[in-house]
Amino acid sequence: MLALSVTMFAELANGQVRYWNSSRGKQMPEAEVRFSHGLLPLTYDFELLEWNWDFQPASVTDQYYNLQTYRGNLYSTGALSMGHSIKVAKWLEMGATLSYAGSFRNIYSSSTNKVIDRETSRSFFFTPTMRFAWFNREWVRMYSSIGLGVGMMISHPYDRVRGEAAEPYIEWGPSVQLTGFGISVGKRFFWFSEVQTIGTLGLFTMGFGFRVVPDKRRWQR
Amino acid sequence: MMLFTITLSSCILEEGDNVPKKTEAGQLIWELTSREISNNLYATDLALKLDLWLTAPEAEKNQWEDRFFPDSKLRYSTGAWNLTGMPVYIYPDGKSIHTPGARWKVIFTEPVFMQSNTEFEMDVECTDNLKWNISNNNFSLNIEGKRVDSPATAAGYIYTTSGDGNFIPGYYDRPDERLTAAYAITQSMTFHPETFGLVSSRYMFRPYSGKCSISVSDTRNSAVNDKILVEILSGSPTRIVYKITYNGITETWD
Repeated sequence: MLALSVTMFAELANGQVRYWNSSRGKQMPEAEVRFSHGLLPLTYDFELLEWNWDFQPASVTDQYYNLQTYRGNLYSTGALSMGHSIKVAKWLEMGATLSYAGSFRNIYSSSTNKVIDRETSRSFFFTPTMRFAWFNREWVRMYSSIGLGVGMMISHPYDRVRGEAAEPYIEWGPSVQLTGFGISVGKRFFWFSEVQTIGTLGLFTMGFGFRVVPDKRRWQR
Repeated sequence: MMLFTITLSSCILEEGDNVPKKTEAGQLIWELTSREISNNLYATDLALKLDLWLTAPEAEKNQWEDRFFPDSKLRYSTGAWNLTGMPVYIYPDGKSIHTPGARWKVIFTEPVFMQSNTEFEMDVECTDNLKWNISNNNFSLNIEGKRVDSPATAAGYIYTTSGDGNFIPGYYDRPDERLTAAYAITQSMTFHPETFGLVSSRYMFRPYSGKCSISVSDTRNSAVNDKILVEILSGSPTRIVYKITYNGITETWD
């Protein structure tokens, strides 16, 4: 899937260049594709959303059934993202990012300590993004960005009281990403990292990208 | 680079649960079962102590009252004795409950401690010297009493019990419970009083020996029929060691 995505986004960028050249007879603006991995993305199973405001202790029935299983660690893949953007001004890039974030945990039987089921959730986000480059050099760029889009989470929970997999459900919601500080280093092939971020792409993001720079003078306008 | 960052930052979002003991669900039900029996014995003990006070010589009444009911006063009204500050009403039948054939009734209008019944009623019938049968619609226990010598507790007796019963394990403020526990004392269990908190008048009964079997069912799931066997290996005020066999798996608890 990663290889397919890389090919797709690279072809998209090249296609834009060819189309721009052929149809308008002039250079297209700079475009880039990015592939990244973000740590701790916000998804719709974020703990705060599930907080139980009912402070009553669990019923004995629930306690009894809950003791028959226990949950393993909750693992996350982080946010795996790929994005495409076009430089519309020296200081402004516009584009969109597709992201995937998965999490899973095993459910164990208390009596045998064997895995009896697995809870999973898979989140997909489409996030149109504006990137503001406030430090712009040929090799190094620093920027901030904001993104707003939509997302969905497919969840397969386990009902410990009933002792069986619960009905899977899909949740839709907004996808928001705010980046305080981002830095990219490189020219055509570059590395980048973003910190001071919060949102569906993760709290800390790192990745690489390819930049198509057809006309250096245009890039410097 | 990508693989490196994935490896580095793919992470544990939340630690898993502590691994419970294999018989912990059974232990939960046993704790509630022993508390249920303890509550029945506590209600019985109040009636027996009242009778000891009623039948005591006039000169000793104050002494017994201080020992057995240090935080309450005894009040009689319309055929029932009430301990002030407690929602309990004891109905004598005109005979000492230490006399074979006597039958008293004990009613709690509120839960004794934390139990499933919001109102609780039981009969106490003397069957022999220091032997009683206590019962209501949900249980029938034969008990034998041995006087408590220590003035450190306000309890009247140590009880050896046999019999069976059933109850809904739960807390009185949770009406949504749906488990039913049916218990049978398969080897006489001895319950000793233990004070809790800083006040000697507050006590409960805890099992120091005996065996009990419990069946757990679910009113909404007929497939649930869990078996619990409990054997008390040793008991003392500081430590009770017991063995629980839950659905065929045995573990020791203390």
